[in-house]
Amino acid sequence: MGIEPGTSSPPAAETLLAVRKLTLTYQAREADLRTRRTVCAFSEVSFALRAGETLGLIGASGCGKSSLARCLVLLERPDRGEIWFDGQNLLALRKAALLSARREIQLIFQDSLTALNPQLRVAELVGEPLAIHRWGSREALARRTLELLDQVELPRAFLTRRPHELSGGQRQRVAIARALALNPRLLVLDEALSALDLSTQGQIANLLLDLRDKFSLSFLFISHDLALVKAIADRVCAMRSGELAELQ
Amino acid sequence: MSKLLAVHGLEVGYSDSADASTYALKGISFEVASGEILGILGESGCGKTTLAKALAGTLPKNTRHAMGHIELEGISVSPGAHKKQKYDRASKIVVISQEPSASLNPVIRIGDQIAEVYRANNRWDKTRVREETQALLASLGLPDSDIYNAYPHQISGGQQQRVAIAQALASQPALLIADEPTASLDAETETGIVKLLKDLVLARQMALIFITHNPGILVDFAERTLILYAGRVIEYGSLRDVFATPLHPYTSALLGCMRDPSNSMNSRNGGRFPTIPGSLPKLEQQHGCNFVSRCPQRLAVCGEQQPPLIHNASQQSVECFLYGH
Repeated sequence: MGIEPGTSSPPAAETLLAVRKLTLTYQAREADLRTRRTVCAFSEVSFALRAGETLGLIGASGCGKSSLARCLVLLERPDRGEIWFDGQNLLALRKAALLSARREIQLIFQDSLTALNPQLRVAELVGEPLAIHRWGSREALARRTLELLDQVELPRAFLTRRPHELSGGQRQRVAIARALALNPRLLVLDEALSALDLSTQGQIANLLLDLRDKFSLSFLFISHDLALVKAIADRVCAMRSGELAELQ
Repeated sequence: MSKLLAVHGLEVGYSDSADASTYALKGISFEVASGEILGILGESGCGKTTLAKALAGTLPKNTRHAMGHIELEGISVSPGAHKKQKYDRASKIVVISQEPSASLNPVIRIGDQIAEVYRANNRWDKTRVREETQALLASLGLPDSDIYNAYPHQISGGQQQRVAIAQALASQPALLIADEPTASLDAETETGIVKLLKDLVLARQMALIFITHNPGILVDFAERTLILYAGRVIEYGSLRDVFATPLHPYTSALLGCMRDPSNSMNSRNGGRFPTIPGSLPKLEQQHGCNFVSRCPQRLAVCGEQQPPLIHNASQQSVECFLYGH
């Protein structure tokens, strides 16, 4: 599927995510720490992702990859453009509808040590999204937490551990369990394997592939490692100085 | 090449573990010559950073014991944080760390941070310090005077790492230890930093210990390699020999995890990533090899006795029963 031109009508039914002419700018301070200037994180970015597809996104540090990831889960508000997810324009949604749409797209970060609250135990970390979205009774929540730990192949004894008591790979499994808690349809993986050793990267990548097949997930897989992206993704896009192009 | 550093029987343990038999490093022995690049390869938690700190004499306060023999330019130094030696050693062995932003002071301008090292080591006037700092920055590909006056947060990660290298070089060290210096950088910037380090070793005839978890970086870069696993040296030799014919099952498995962009493996065709099953064991005094629980070629004796260090004809050493008892 190619890059779609910008329109304001919903994309085709098989398109899960369509991003159209998305632009994000930041206000940065000059060296004198007083004057401000506008920095463009990315400009007029458009792409589409089919349901069940894995789209790879590569690019050097500072090219706008992470800003794009943050925009997709609405942690940043873009200046212009549209984000269509499952036939809805996310940027036009109000509070309740937005909360429900947010369940469907989950973001996994590179550094699990800073992404996870150091004071919470694994049970609370994995159960937190369930509690926020009122999953059900305390028993149902505990059952779901255990189920999630099994899905990411973590021993149940880890429920009482805190992030610093886990290895990098184990922490990233907790982050994946947390992301899967609300049965999302799209995972945005922002350098999710980059901080891990080569063999642990392989273990987590294999786990993600199993989960993708089991739950028919779509991935936006962001990384600077071309070999890794090519092995995981169906299509690869490259971002350079805030602009996106598809690699053949 | 003359011998610069010799390490023999280095052992380090930390006191935050309740169990007195645990260690971070054990029985570490190797040598580094001037002008040589040694690549130290190992997974997270195998003791790579502890080794860098023991060599630089900057082990943290919770170190329970640091034993063994370290000889720098023929003079014996203590692996622990010995106060007087620490000052002498500081200008000879310099460590650059993984996170450049953490090694730079966020509220001091880049140029002043490097000038500070020159002032501490030389009796130069202000003009000379400024000229030397600018020349050093220019030689590392940062000629812009904006960089001299910038604060660390205003420059990119790759530039920050170049500044950290400049700061390290300002004391003219005999040995530079780079502890995963490119782990937080993208592939293009990583290649630039590796090339820069290689050129610097050649130009200054200093030695470089490059610590990494990624074997791919060391190809065409390091001359010799040392494989660390669970606090022990399990294989040691010339990089070409170790990468062409790895002897230890762990080395084979680790090199087997390397990825090649030209490889056609794709997850949609049922492709799986190679991994090493299991995880790093707890580092404690135990009978037998540390890798035994994950080893596909284990023998009955592997779980009972510590494997001997065996040397082959091409100076490749391995700690494994597969090559003799």
